[in-house]
Amino acid sequence: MKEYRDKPTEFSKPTDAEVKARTKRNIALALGLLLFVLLVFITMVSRGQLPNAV
Amino acid sequence: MNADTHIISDEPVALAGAGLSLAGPRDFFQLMKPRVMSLVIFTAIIGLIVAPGSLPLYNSIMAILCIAVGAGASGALNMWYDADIDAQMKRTKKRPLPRGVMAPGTALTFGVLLSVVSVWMLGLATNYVAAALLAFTIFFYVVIYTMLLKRRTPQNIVIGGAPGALPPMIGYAAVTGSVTLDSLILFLIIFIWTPPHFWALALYKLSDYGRVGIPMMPNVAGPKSTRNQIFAYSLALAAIAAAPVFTGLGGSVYAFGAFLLNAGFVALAFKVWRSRAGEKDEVQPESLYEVQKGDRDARNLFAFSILYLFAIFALIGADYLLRGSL
Repeated sequence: MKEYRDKPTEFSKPTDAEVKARTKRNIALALGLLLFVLLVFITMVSRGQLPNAV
Repeated sequence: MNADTHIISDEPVALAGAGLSLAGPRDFFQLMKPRVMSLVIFTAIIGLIVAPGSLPLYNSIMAILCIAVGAGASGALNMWYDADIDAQMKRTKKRPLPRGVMAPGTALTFGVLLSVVSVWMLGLATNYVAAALLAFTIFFYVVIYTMLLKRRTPQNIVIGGAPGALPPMIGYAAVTGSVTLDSLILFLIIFIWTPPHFWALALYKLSDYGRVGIPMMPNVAGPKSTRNQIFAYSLALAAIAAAPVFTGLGGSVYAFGAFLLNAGFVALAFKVWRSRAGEKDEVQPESLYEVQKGDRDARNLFAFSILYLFAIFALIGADYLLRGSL
């Protein structure tokens, strides 16, 4: 049975295609989250629910 | 340890070399069925335009965005559930899951996340009636249609047509916060349009659905019964499409345009009804030409049905704007 203290011994280097796809996914995820935060903020403001600091 | 090294995983995921997914943003976008989304966006905009009252521009844009994302979420969940049959059909085998570039769990997470976000944001930006309708749409498409009906009954696309018909009603509810007779008519136009649209396609592209065991009307009830039903639905569609004239949703421009479109639809459906479309399995060499001609009629009806729906909704919107500007 594997336990947390068993150190992994096998590693594999991702291919260029994998790294490229992962980078694109990360960028898309970051942009998606940013857009989500912005839209929530603007929507709240448009409803007149201003944040305390404003 | 190098940042680019990755611990070999035991998880049964669709993997390439080191175990990282090859899915890019484009694959995620493809999960959302962009072509279906375009129809959803268009009909939702019309629902939003013709609804009495007004919604600020920003909230209107948010409503359309949320409806589109909600539809995309349903598409992703549908692809997650149907990956097994998608892999066996020519039209769907190049989707991200059958191609193996994405793990099923990823598609599921993506779909669930987008569903929650789109419903919540729609409630925040407009009202909770619209949000509830969007949640119902996603539930109906994923659970009722995809999981319960699609593989069990040839009535799958009749009942399963409801989620595709709800977007204009959601757009309408985003403005009014209610469901009215007019928004119900917008719903019914798409709902009644769906069976003849899909069955026309199924008549000349029968083999793929039958091979993977999806009970489409032509391979369960037979081509003749399907052609009868296509014609019956086309008559019902003509009646429903005339309803806006009587409720005041459509004016004279709509009445004239809808008359021409309905005449075209019924005429093409009549040609399919009289043809031998879909009878490939029963065909004798001497009647092969007749069957091929029938298949062409079915293809014409399918192509016209796409134009029909866009045109009917465009007419409703244009008529409303024209009357408003006079």
